[in-house]
Amino acid sequence: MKSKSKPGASRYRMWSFLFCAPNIILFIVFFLIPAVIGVWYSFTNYNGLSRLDFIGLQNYDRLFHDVEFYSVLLNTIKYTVVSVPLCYVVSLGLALLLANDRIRGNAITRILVYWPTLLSSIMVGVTWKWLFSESYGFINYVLTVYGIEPVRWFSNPTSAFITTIVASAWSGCGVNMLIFIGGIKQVPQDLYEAARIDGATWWQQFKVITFPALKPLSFMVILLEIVGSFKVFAMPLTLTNGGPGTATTYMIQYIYKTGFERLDVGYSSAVSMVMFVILLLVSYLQTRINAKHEEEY
Amino acid sequence: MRKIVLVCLMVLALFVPLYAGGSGESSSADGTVVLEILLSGDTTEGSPMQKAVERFNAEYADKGIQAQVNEISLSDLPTQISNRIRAGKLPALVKNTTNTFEQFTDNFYPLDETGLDPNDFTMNYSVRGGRFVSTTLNSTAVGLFINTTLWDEAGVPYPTTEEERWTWDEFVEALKTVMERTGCEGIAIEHSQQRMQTLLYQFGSRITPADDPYTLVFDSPETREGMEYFINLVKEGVATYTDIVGIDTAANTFKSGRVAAHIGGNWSLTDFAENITGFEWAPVLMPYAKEKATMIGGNLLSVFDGSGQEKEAIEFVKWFYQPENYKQYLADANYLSGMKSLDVDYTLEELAVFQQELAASCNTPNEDMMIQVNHPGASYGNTIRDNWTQAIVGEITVDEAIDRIINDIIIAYPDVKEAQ
Repeated sequence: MKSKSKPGASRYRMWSFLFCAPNIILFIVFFLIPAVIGVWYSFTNYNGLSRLDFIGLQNYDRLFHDVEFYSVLLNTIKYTVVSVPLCYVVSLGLALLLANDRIRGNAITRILVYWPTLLSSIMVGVTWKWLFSESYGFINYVLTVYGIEPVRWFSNPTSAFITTIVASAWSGCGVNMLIFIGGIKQVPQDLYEAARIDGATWWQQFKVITFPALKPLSFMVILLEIVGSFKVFAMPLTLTNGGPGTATTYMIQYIYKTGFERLDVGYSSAVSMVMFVILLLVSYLQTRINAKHEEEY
Repeated sequence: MRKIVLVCLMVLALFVPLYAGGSGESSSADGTVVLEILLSGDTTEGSPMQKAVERFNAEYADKGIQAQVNEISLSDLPTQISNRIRAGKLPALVKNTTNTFEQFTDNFYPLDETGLDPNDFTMNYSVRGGRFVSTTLNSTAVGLFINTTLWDEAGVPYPTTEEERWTWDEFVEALKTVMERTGCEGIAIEHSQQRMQTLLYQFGSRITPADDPYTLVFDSPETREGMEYFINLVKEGVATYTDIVGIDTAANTFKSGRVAAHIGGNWSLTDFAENITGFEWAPVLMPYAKEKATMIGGNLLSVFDGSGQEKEAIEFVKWFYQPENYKQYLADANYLSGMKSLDVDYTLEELAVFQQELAASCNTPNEDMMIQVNHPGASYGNTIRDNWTQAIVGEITVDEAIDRIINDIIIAYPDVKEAQ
């Protein structure tokens, strides 16, 4: 049976389309067209300017045999697996603490926690480099003053990796904390009152009321953090320069290196496409899991 | 209908500023042509181009041509040029690195009208397909700096003449003595392909044979020996780990006074002269193993084809290379001359050591350059530096590093083959 549209509905559709037009045009110009061009480049030997020949799947074939690519991909996955839960837990913990109006100075503390978010990634890298540098860093200076042997923060692959993770959590948790505070404030207070009357502990209230109420926000925060972690670039570049060796070299730095240093834009586009597919799969899986949980509730 | 028109106008209004914002300004209201010179690093090197532009503008005030410097970060240079070529909004001139020169060779305007001879320049490989497309702005050379206060304190002599030049083994022995007697650290080697490859050349390594830029001979006992030599120096604590792997900046480490020696370049002279106050320092002749070698580098000046200001830009180049103007440019930054046989009154006499290095260097670095000359628009990037660094860190072996470097070169230049 055909559904008949109401009279005037097409006129409303036209208006809604017109109001969305600036956004649609910007999306097409700055996202869709570059994405399509990126896909095309990944099938070529484009060098960024003059050479552009179709070479089929050669870039992908090369990529799947590239040891360096797998090493960088593994680094990025390790970084994501560690930094996303850390950032999530720290943000949620801070939000739970600072959403409580009985805590003194919570407004100024929120500002202080949020402040690093306003810094550019490069500034975050430079700031942490000044703190942890092995030759002129503040932390090693303090350790030396107290007669403790200076730590080789960047020379050791594990400590360099941890430093990038900590810097990432420091700079990223402010926004997530504000999102969670907004979510916590939206939870009806009578639920907590009822729970308290029933003798629920703080942990039980969190487990049964707060955490489920924050699930949609958690989904969004985790998804954004995963995408952000895969795309991390400027901070580790300024902090560790991807080193020692390739210990903190992540996907975007590899794409940058192949695209701009080796003028192999076709190959770097293929790497970008693989990253795009990985992120698409992660987003899809997460959406499915989230939808399943919502159905259960 | 009026509402639809209104919405359309709003959408249009959104794009008009975007378009207007992107348009460049190349001439003033009175018809004076304003030449944009795109470059990086001028301020940190003493603003020599800015000073040259001020002299040019004063001289050409009534001739309808003026120039202005547009300084951007070095890492943005290739991307900005690339984007501006696509957008058709080219600057009139650009101070190229060797990398941007290789990348954009096809976009440069021939300089034959300047009357300059490409053979008069130190980087005379800038003639491509019979077209003279770039002049050398300044030359650079890799060299060795030592903290003479530490060496004098340790009572260890250092070479002042060609005859006294160290071998690498002699130098390391002397360095260890200085380290022992003063408690300082050893040598800070800059994490750079040019600096690190120079060390390989000193061990007799080369990428291609002298007469065949299409065959790779990089996989050799000499390359292996050179790489392993410096890996051992790092292991023994003679070469500072954080500098050679790129975590710290070797020049800053040297300026701190903690190390006895530093492999860097002549561009650091002005910086060291101005900022080192706590100790005495000097450039000395670099050690050698099999060959005396330094890698010549530098910057190149090119005129863009398609800026619409080619004639005026040529006029600027002609003015720039008049001896009095060019000498002043070099003297302002203590640059090594990009023109052969040119006497410049430098304020820093230490430059003589780098000129001596250039004169004594084997020709291998120039011969290896031919592989790039034959492949404009392609590059193997910093693969030698990056893979060697991975071997220093212990992620891969020296053999794996050499294999990967060769693989990267062949990917960049598919018509090049490894020697059998």
